[in-house]
Amino acid sequence: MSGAWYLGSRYLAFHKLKSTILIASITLMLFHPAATRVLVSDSAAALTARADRTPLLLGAAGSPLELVLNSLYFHAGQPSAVSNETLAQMQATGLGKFIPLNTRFHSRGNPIVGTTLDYFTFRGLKLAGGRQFGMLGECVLGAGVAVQQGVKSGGYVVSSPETVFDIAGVYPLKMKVVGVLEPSGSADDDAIFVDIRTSWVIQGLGHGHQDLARPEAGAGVLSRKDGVITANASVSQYAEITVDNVAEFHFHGDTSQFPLTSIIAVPPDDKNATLLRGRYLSNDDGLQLVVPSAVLNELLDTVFTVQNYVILGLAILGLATVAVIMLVFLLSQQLRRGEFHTLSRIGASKTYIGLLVASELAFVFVGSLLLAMLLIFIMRQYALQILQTFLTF
Amino acid sequence: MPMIEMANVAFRYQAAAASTTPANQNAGFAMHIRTLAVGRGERIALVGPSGSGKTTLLSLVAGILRPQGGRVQVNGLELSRLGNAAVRQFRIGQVGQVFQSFELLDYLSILENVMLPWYIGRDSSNTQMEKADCRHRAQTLLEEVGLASRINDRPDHLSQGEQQRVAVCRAMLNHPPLLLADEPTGNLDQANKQTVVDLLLEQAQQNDSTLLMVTHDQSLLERFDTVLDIRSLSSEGVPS
Amino acid sequence: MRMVYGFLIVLLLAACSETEHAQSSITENAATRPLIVASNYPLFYFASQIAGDEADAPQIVLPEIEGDPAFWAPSTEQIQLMQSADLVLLNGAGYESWLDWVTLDRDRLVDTSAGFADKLLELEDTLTHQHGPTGEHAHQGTAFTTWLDPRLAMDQAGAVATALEILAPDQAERFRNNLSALQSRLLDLDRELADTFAALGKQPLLFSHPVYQYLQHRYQLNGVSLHWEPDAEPGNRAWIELQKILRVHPAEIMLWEAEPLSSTAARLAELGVQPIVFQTASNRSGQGDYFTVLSGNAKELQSALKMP
Repeated sequence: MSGAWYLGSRYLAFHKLKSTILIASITLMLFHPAATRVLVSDSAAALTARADRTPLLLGAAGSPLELVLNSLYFHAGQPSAVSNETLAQMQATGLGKFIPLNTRFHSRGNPIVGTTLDYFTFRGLKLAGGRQFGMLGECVLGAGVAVQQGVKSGGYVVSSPETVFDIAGVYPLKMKVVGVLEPSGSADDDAIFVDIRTSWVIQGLGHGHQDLARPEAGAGVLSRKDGVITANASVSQYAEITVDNVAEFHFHGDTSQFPLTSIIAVPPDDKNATLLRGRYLSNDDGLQLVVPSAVLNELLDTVFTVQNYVILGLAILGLATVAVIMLVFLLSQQLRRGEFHTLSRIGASKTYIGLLVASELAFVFVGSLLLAMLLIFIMRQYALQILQTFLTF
Repeated sequence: MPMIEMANVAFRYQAAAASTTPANQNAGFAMHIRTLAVGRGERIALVGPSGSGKTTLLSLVAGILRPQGGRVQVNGLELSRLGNAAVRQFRIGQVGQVFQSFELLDYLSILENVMLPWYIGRDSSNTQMEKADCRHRAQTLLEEVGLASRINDRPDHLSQGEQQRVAVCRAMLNHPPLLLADEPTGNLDQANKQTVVDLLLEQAQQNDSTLLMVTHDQSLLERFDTVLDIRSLSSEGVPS
Repeated sequence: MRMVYGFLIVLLLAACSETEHAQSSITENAATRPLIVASNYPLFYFASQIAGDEADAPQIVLPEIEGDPAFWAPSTEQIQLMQSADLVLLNGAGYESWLDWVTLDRDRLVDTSAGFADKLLELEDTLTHQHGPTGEHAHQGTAFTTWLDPRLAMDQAGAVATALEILAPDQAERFRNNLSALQSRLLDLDRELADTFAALGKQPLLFSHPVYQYLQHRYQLNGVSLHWEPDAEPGNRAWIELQKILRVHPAEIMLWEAEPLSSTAARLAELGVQPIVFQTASNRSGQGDYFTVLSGNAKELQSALKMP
């Protein structure tokens, strides 16, 4: 190594605090806008990737963004429900595959997603262990839920009541975990998947109890008349669906009016997609059919605009930082005039002294650049986890 | 051939010349040396009142300053005919300098400080010794001055006397034929003064170097072959 | 120092590459022969006849079901079998009550009675329950033993064949030929049963259990259904009820799904009612296939009626 570079490196090593502060400042100055860009672009890519893979989404008329965020990312903000009958109508069109979702409920913060087996094929989800749910009351966990709640196949999760005082409302159902999915790097990792009908049981639209026709259920019977048995309030309902009692679970009311959060529509080709969109063009029927990627692109346009302002702000801040750093260097050189005079007297040229100063600058800037790149590299590896942890999607 | 020959040397500090001095305190100062000859191997003490140009004379001999007129010849080299790079090379390789304020670099170990002329000269000279040889030379010098066990210490861990000993080692790194010392004992106590002067004289003796030392200390003069009063060199200029 | 620089350069180069998340879909049934699961024996039989027994024919499976498949509660393993199947043949008409709580892929379900939904018969005397004074609801009220009417069985077989053709179009011709042969045999069975029941005319009949609705409808039988089990003693109230019925509906023959208890048979005889076994063939029996059983039923009846 050249003498000047060596002396420069020794100078930096001796002034550890100053060097550390300089390198840290420049590293932050370089890292911050790059990190902002990486996080925004990675989050946009993740958002849009999932949205791109979801051709069409049907829900109640209202905010398309709320519908998309809730149905794709199980985000908070529950849109109005659509009826199960709407699903039947869509299926009757034969214009594609239709996958219902009911995302109203949670278990210790993790969304419970009521759906059908088609969802797993559609999202390319694979089981890491156990099996697929086969009956009411069974559930399959996303990889993240298994870790967060410390549950595996054979264990249980319980649905959370919507309010503390919701005595007659949402059903705190104990559900058996029969499988755990492989990590997918998406919102599915943090979700608990159940049969759509299980979500209706949680909502209290279905329940199980003793067969009231049996003599042993006598205490729960209010009256028997004209082939109608009226139960009283004492009849106890099952808080868990098991193989022994599942056959006794039933739904009251018209199941065609049971609620869904949304319906994912997967038409096989563009023609069917166009036909489908034409059917739900107007919102007269209280429904909206949206293209998730288009909805998100609108949101992302805003995000990118904000990002540009943020980066502009950071750039201005960066310039100010550079100015301060240059001031520090200049002051440092002032303080080193005696040293430079000594070097000159011993025989150092101005070029040599210039190299000495330049080496300090170079080490600081190159070191900062390398450190910033290292941090960006590390951040890129964990960008998605960071986003999912702090942005909850 | 004398080690140092100067004839009709005229020098005046310009405003720009202050770039080689920390403060422009000598701006306007002028000196004229009619003649000076210093033989090889001589030990000369240079005396004179403050501001009489002793440091300026040393700077002219070392090639740090260029006279506006006259001839400065050192070890057979006429400095005015050399380019800047050649003058610097000459200074690194043939002139050892010791300064009043020691002027060691606080971020280098004392070993690295002794090797400093090598670090400065390595990029421009291909006649330098290899690093290992330089390191060995530096270690030997430090052994001679009793600092072998402290080669990795920084200057601020040494006493003033020890620091000046390191500075002498630095000056002797390249076996210079000419040793210039500008009041090397000015910041030392009496005991250390003697030690440092002994060291300079010893090194000059060992190396057969010519020693030109500026001093105000009368008690040291008897140690030198010649005591030269700068005023006797007809330096007409006085500080303004 | 050099090692640090080298390490950082390596990291820089690695940072240039993108990491990708590899995702793969749930493994589909990779068997070369499609797997078909039937929910009862008649469908299993029809599908087997239609599929044939060539090496590449679809594999038809009837899970091990104890007792009447109408009351089947599939085990976890059986549910997994159905989930892995290419098709699940359903009788429909509310037969598979387990569909209310089992999770299956809707696109793989074949409701073989959907094609004649307008011909399904409503059950009488539906038992309902409700919670509190309001909120009444009724359970499923459709008769589901559709295969006892050979004409409806032909339609069900046709639905099976259609589903198999979609699943294995390269074997469609064989399926059609086999279907044709099967439907021909069903026509013959229909004629046999028609001739047998014609001999009864409008003679009152009793049915031990409400499972003969389609037989009754097809052959215009004058029958009344009870709720008696072959392996259980009818209670006193049941006998009293029977006597009341016999006063206005003087039946001399009572069809049973299986042999009743000897005590029951004896007491019936006292009342002038002859129990005759008419198996529904809903599950495998050790007594032959669908045609053997139903034709055997006809012969049993012919014998009781002393037909030539």
